[in-house]
Amino acid sequence: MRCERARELMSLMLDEILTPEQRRDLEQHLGECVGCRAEWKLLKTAQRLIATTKPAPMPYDLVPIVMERVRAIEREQTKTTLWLNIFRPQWRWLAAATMPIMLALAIVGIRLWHAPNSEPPESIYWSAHVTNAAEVAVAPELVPISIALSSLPFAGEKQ
Amino acid sequence: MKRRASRHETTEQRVETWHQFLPLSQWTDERLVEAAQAGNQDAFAELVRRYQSKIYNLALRYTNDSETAIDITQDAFVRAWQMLPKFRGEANFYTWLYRIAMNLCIDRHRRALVRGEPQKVSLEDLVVERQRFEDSEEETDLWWEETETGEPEAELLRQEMREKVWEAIQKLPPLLKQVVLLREYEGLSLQEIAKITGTNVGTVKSRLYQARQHLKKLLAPYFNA
Repeated sequence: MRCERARELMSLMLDEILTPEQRRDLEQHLGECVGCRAEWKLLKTAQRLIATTKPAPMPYDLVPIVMERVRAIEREQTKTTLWLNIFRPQWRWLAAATMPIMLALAIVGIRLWHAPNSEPPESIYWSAHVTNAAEVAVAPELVPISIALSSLPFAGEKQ
Repeated sequence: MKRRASRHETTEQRVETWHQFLPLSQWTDERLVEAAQAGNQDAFAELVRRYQSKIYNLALRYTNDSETAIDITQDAFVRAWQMLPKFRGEANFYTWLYRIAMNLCIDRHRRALVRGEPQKVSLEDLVVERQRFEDSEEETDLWWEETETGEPEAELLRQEMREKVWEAIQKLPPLLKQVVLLREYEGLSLQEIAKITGTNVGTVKSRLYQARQHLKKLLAPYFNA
C-alpha cells in the first residue's frame, strides 16, 4: 500500500468508518512504515487531546438578554400586524365592494366642487318675475307692499 | 394485534397529555420547539438555556474571541426565533441551530476579511519538513500522552499541547476549520455535519482529510522528540 493511500485510510480510521479489509491493510502498512506510523500517532494524539478539552464556561447567562431581544422583535411585529390586518383576506372583499362606491362619491364631490356659476333656471325667473303688481292678485292690505316689491329689480332682469 | 396497537396509542397519548405537567426542563427538544412555534417564549428560553454553552463554545473555537463569541451566540438564538416558523423538523433542532451559528461565524470571518483585519498565518508560510517523519529511525516518544495517572508534569504538558492543537486549528482555512470543530470538538456525525454545512458526506470526509493533513504539518514540530 502506498503512503498516500494510507493517509486517506488514517483519516477514515479516526472517524471509525473503515471496512475490516481496509483496517487490516492499514494496520499492515503501519507495521511496515515508520513515517506513517509517526503520522498516525500524531493524529491520534491530537484527536485525544481535543476530546479531553474542557468546554469554556459561559461568561454570563445569555437567556435574559436573548429573551429581551425576542420580546422586542415581537413588539415590533405586533405593531406591523395591526396595520397589515386591514389587508387580510377576509377584509379584502369588503374593500373591493366599497371601492366603487367611494370612487363614485369622490367623482360627484369633485364635480360639485368645481361646478361653474350658471344662471338660475327659467322656472325661478317665472316664479319671481312680476311686471305689474296689478297682475298679481294680492290681499288689499298687502297692495302697498306688492307695489313696492314690484319696483325692485330681480336677479337676471335687465333694468 | 388490534388490542396491542390501541394500547400503544393510548400510552403515547397519555405521555403526550402528561407532558404539559412536566417542568420545561424535562421536555424533549421536539416538544419545546412545537411550543415555541406556537408562541410560547418560556419554551424557547429553555432551548436557549440548554444550548447556549454549546453554541458559545463553537463560536469561541471558531473566532478565538470571547466577545465575538457572545455576540454570535445571541444572534444565533435571535435568528433561530425569527426562523422558527420555517423549521419543519426535518433535522434535529441542535443541528439546525449549529448551522445558523456556523453561518454567522463564517459571515463574521468574511466581513473581517473585507475590513482588512490581520489574518492568521497562512499554511504556505509554514515550512515543515515531511522528511523528518520519513527519515526518523526512532519512533516518537510521547511519554506524556501515554500517562494515564494525574502526574502534574504530564498534565501540564498535555494542556500545553492542547493549546498548540487549538492554535493550529485556528490557522486552518474556514471550511476546514468548520468540519474539524464540528467533528472533533462537538462530536457530530458525518451526516449531521453534512446537513449543517449544506454539503454531503463525501465532501465532509474530503475536508476532514485535508484538515488533518494541514494539522499534521502544523503540529509536527511539537510532536517530534
